[in-house]
Amino acid sequence: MLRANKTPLIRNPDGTLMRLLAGQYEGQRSTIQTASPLLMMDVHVPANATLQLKLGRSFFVGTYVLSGTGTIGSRRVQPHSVASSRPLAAGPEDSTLSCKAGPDGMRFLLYAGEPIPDPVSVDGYFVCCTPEETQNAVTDFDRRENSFAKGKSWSSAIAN
Amino acid sequence: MSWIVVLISVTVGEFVHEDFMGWKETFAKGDVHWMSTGKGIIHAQIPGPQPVNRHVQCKRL
Repeated sequence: MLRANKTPLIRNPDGTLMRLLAGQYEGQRSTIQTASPLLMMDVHVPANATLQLKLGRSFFVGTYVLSGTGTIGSRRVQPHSVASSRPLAAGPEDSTLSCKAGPDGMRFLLYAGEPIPDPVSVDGYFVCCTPEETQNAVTDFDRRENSFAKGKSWSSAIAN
Repeated sequence: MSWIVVLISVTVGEFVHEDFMGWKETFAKGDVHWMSTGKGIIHAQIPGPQPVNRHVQCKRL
């Protein structure tokens, strides 16, 4: 759990505020550990201001707009817009993602990170590397065996 | 099984999480609840008592 009052805040001179939720940015580091590089931020850009986000050159990027309007990259956005991109950089430098707020400012959640090289097999909530592994996981869940053995004697108090 | 990190950022209200490892926590606006699934996990998550509770969830491989 990362409490709101423990999330690092990055403030720019123009009033842009970035709350760092996971990963590291501009010398600040979150306490959330991930196996591969990941960046998650809650970003507020003031009215008519432009934020140039510097991202790892191999990062995939996703944004979800919570309020306000503007442009993220080349995409015009509004509340509930989702903008996403494969790696932006063509050369050896880090990527820069331009985020320009409209007249009422713009707030969005940023999710970015490096893709993993492993193959992926998905069946609902079950994610493994091969269809056989995924099927085994589903079977283990249904039978409450192996990794799900603790579920044999557990019943949720909040959901029941 | 791949190691998955589930990141939940609450924007309105609060949520309660409980799992079979014994964790139980309430997390509210501005908090980030994160969970690595390891080789598998069973958990429950319910909204708080406020009229509106909203979060954004990202599952990251």
